Amino acid sequence: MNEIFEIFSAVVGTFVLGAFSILFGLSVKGIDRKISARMQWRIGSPLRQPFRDVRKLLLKESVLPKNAVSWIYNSSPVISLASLLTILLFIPIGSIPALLGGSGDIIVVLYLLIIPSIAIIIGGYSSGSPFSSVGAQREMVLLISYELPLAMVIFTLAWRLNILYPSYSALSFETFQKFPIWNSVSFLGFIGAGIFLIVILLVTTAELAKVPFDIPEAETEIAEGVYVEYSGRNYAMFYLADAVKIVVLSAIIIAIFFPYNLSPLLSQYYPVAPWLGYTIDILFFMFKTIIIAIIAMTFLRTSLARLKIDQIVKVYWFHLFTASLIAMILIALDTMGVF
Amino acid sequence: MVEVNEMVKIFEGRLNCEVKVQSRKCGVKKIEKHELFVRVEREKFMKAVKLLFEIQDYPHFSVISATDFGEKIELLYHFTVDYGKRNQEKLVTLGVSLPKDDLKIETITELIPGAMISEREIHEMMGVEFIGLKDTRHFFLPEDWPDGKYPWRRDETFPEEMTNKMYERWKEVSRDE
Amino acid sequence: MNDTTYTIPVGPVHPALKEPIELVLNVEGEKIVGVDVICSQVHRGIEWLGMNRNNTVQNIYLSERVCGICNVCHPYCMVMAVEDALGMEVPERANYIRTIVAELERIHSHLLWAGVAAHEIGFDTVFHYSWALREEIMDTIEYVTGNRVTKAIMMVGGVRRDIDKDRRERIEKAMEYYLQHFHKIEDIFLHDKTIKMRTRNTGILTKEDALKLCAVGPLARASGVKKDVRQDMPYGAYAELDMRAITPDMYTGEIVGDVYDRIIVRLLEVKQSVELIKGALENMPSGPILSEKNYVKLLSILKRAEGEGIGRVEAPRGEDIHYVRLEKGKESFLSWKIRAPTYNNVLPWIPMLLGGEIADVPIVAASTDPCMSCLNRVTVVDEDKNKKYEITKDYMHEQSLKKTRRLMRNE
Repeated sequence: MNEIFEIFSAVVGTFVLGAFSILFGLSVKGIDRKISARMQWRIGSPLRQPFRDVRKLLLKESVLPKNAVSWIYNSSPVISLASLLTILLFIPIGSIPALLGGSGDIIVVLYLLIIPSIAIIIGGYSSGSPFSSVGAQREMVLLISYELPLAMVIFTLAWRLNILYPSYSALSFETFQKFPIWNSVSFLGFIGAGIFLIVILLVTTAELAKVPFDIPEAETEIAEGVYVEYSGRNYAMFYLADAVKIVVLSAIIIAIFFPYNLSPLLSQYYPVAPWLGYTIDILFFMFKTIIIAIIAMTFLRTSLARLKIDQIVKVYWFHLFTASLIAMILIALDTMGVF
Repeated sequence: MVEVNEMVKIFEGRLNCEVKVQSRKCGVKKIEKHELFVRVEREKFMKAVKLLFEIQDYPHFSVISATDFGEKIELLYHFTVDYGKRNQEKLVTLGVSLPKDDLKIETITELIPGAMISEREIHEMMGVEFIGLKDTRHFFLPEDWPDGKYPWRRDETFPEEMTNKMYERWKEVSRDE
Repeated sequence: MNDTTYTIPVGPVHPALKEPIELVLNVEGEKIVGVDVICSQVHRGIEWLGMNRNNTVQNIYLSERVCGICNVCHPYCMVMAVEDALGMEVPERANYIRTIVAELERIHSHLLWAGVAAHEIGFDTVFHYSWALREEIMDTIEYVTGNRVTKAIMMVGGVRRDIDKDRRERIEKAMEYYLQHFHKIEDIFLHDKTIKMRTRNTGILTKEDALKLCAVGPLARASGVKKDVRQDMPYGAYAELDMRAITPDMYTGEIVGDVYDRIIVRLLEVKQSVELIKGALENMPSGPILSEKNYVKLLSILKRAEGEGIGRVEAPRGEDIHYVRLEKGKESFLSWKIRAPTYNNVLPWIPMLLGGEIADVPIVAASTDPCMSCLNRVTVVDEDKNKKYEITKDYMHEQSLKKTRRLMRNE
C-alpha cells in the first residue's frame, strides 16, 4: 500500500512540478523581456506575451521540411522538453526535497542537462537545411566549450564538501543543502566560491543560448540556425524547453550556492504552519530564480553584442578555465589549511 | 594633376578626336566644374582608357550609360580623374558609337575589375557583346529571361508584350463587371 | 568545390539583409571560400519609366522613389543633371536649402545604419538607442519639408519650399539635441569592447582593392581613399562650408580598412553634418528659391531643350551619378542612367568576405550600407515563363481590383 502511494505521489508530483516549471519559466521569460525592453528605451511587450506566443504556436501547423528525417525531426523537441522536466525531479525546490532525491545525484543532472543540447543538434541536422547544419555545428562547439568550466565548478565544490563531511554523499543536492558552501569555507575558499559563482552564471548564459553566446541561433547570421525549420507545435516544445531550462539552471545554481530558506528563519520568531513555510520557501525560490535569470540572462544579453564562435571558445577554454583553475587552487589551499 | 586645357590637348593630339568641354559654374562660390565628353572610334577606345591610366593611376570608373539612336547605340563610359583633391576633380566621359549590326566592344574589366556589373547590365539591357568579359550571366534581369529581348532598346527587340499595362487592365476589369 | 565545402544561400530573404539580394557562399566549416552575388530581385524599371512614360518634372518624383532612404540625393542628382544639360543657374538660397536638406538626410541615414549594424552583430540595445536618437531628425525633416520620408523638395532650377524663421529654429533645436546626445552612441560604438571584438580586422578592404573595384563613399574613405564629391567637385553650398573628406586616420591615426573604420567614418560624418548644417543656416542668403517659377514655362523649356548633362551628389552611401540626355520635342528623357552608390559597393563584398567566417557576413554586408532598391531598378513580367507559378501577377492584380470594388460597393 505504501509503495502504491509513493508511486502515485511521484506521478502527481511530476505533473505539478512540470506545470509549475512551465508556467513559472514562461513568466520569467516575460519579466526578462520587459526589463530588457526598459533598458533599451522601449516599452516592451506585456508580461503575458510568452504565454500568448506559446498559445499561438500550438495553434499553428507543424511543417515538415522535404529533406527532413521525420521521426528524429519530430521527436527531438519532445526529448528536449522531457529531459529538462526530468532534471527538476532531482533538484530540491525551496524547502521541498527533490521528488526522486534518493535515486539520482548531481551526475545524473549533468548528463540530463546535455540531452536537450544533443536533441537540438540532432534535430538541427535532421531538418536538412544548411542553416540548421551550421547552427548544429555551432551548438556542438558551444556544448564542448562550456562543459569543462561547469564540471570544474561542481566537482571542486563536491570534493570540498566530501573532505569536510565524509559521512554524507558528496554528489547529492541534500549535502549541498545541508551545508551551504559559504559556511563551509574560510576566506580563500570564499573567494574561490565567488569566482565559481561568476563562472557558473556565465555558463548559464551559454546553456540558455542567449546573447553574447547565442551563436546556434544567431538570427542575423544563420536565421535562427537550428530552429529555422521548426514551426508550430514542435517549435512550441522548444520554446517551452527554453523556459523550463531557465528554471532548471537557476534551480541548480540555487541548490549549490544559495540553498537558504526563509521558513527556518521565520519560525524562530513566529510559529509557522508547515504549508505556510512551504509556500514562503517556494516564493523565495521564485524570487531567487528571477534574480539569477536577470543577472545571467537579461543584463548580459542587453549590454553585449554577439561573439563569434572562436571568441566564445576562447572565453570558455582560456578565460573561464583559468578562472576556475584559480578558484580550484584557492579552495584546495583552503582545504589543506595552508593559511 | 593635369589642367583641363592640357587634358583636352592630350586627348585631341593622341586620339585625333573631338573633345567637348562642358563647364558649368557650380554652387555659391561659382567654382567651375568641367565635364569632358570624348567621343572616340571603337578601334581607339582601349587606347583612350589607357590614356586615362596615364593621367591618374586609378581613374575612377562610375558607370556605362547607353542610348539607342535607332541605327546605332552609343555607350558612354563615365570616369572621374583627380579625385581626392579639393575642387580639382574632372569628369571624363568616353563615348563610343556601335552600329546595331555589330554590337561588339572590348571589355575594360581587365583594367578595371569594378566595371563588371556595369558591363553585365549593358550586356543584358542593350545586347552589346563585351569581348573578353568572363561572366556574362544576367545581373538584374531574371535567369530565365528570353534571349534576344533587350528592355532599353527602342526597336523590335524591346519586349513590348511583357510590359505591365496595369491601367489597361483596370479598364478591362471594369468592363467585365 | 570539394567534399568538405557546402553552399549556404544568404538571401534573397534573410534576416541579415533588409532588402532582397542573394549571396551564395561556399563554406568549409565556418570559413568562407567562395562568394557570388546575385541581384535582380527588386528591379523596378525606373529608368525605363523615365525614358518612356514620364516628363522631366514627373521624373523628379519618380527618382525620389528610387530609394526611401536616399530620397534627396537621387532627385538632387537628377535635377543637377538636367540643369547641367540646360545650362540653368540655381539661386543661391536654393543651393543652401538643398545642402541643408541633403545633410539632414545624411544624419538620418547614418543613424539608421548605425542601428542596423548593431543589430547585425546581435547588439539590439544599441540598435534601439540609435533609432531612438534618429526620431528627432525624422521629426525635424517632417517639420521642414512636410514629410517624414519622401521630402519632395527638389525642382529643376531650385527648391519647392523655403526654410523660414520657424523651420530654421526647429533645425537649430535638433542640432543642439545632437550636439548634446550624440556622444552617447558614439561612446558605445567606439569604446565598447564587444563591438570592437566583432568589427576590428573584420572584412578588410585594402586601398588597392577599393580603387580597383571603384568603391565609393564611406567604404572607400575607410580604406583610405580621400574621395568625396562634396570636397572634390563641390555642388550646392559645400564649397563655402569648408568641407573635407573624412578618413579614419583622423580619429585613430591609422587606416585598417575594416568594419570598425567604416563605423568611425560614419560617426564622424554625422558630427560633420551637424556642423555643416549649422554653418549653412548661418550663411544662408536671402533671395528667390526658384529660377523659373512658372511650371508651364519650365516644361516648355524642358521640351525644347537639347543636350546632355551629368549630376553628381555625395549620397550618404557614396557617390551618386545620373546621366541625362534631352532631345528636342520629347517630353521624357532620351536617355537616363542612374548609378546609385551600392552599384559600385557590391563587388567589394567579395574580397571582404573571402576567408572570413559566416558570422562576419551580416556585419560586413551591412558595413557597406547596401541599398538594394537603389541598385535594382526594370519591371517587366514575363508571362510565358512564369507559368510554373499558378497565380500570375496579372491574376492577382485582377483579384485585387475586384476586391477593392467589392469593398467600395459595400461601403
